[in-house]
Amino acid sequence: MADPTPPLREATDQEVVLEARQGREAAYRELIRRYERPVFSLIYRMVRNREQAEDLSQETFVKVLNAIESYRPEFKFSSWVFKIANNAAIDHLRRRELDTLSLDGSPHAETADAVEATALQIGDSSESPLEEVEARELGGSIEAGISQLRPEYRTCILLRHVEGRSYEEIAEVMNLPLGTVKTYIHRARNELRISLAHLRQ
Amino acid sequence: MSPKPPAHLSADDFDAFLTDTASPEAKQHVAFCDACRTTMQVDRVLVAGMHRLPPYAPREGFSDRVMARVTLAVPAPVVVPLPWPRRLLQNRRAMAAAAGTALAMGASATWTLANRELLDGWVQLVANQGGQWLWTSLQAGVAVMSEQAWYAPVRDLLVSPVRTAAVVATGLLVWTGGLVALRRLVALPSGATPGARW
Repeated sequence: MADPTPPLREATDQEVVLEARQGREAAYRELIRRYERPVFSLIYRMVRNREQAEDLSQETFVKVLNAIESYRPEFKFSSWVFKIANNAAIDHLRRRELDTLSLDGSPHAETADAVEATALQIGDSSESPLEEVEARELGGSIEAGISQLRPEYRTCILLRHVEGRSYEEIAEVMNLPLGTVKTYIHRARNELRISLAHLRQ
Repeated sequence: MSPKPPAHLSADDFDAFLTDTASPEAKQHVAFCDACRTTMQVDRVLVAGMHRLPPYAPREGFSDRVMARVTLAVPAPVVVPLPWPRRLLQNRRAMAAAAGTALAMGASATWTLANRELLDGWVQLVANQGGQWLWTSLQAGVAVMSEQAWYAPVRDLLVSPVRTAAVVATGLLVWTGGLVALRRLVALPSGATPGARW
């Protein structure tokens, strides 16, 4: 008889969650593999500190996976994960003053090894050196512009244009009406346009 | 009269350009409106730039660190329900209770059929006695009430239809006033209470 369990890599989130509910550790690890980068990226861009982003991401996954039995399959799993991640980041931001953005490593790193260890791991790019420099310049300006936005605008714009989520899913993640989400995204884009005006000149 | 300035595109129109779903009117508008064309172009660069932002990864061993703090779910034992006749056969107490109930019902039906006249007599007796008891209770209640000190003044109050109407109207007024006062007491404050946090 054929194995009814689909290979985890090809399975949908819901199927992987069902496997996790049966106590399969591989399913838990598959969920982490799928969402560790999106969750870490979102939280890092919200709190702008690698150490804190790591801690908050870890908290997010621990919370999600320990409550896997209470997950309601009528909602998207990604919405649930992002909702918990966003709440963790927003709570954290409320508790502390914002640090400045560092792409090179934690501002709290005191030795060269610590700086290297905390430097962001950015994927390889297949662009030409010139394109890469331009892209880095634009990317850096966008990152800096995003970091100046209000936290709720930041979450909306990151989920929409970096993670590619739909307006409906963002509304679900942020527990906001659809119209409010659209307004936040439009305002965030307006502010980014203004903050990137120097690049046009 | 000066010509009406052209209305610029809305935020939703600019959104539509980002998903290549802009309307023909919006496309026509950006062909001659410099401001909207520039906004649309900057939006495209901005959104493309955001799509290209690299995903950040946590340090090596992230999943191990998470899994060290996670308790794996315990799968619930799968219970295959048996068909009800088999479930019943497996439970001796339920079987005994069912047999006892069936026996009692059978005996009751048999006895009723054999003693219909006796049963009719009992029913008649209970009905007569019950009616008599109710009538006596009612008479006693009225006698006790008419002996009370407040009975005479109340009866005088309701002696004419005008007086009765006045008493009922006063009662209604007091009741309505009470309702209004209660509503005001339990209503939530309409404005925000300073310093209050939900």
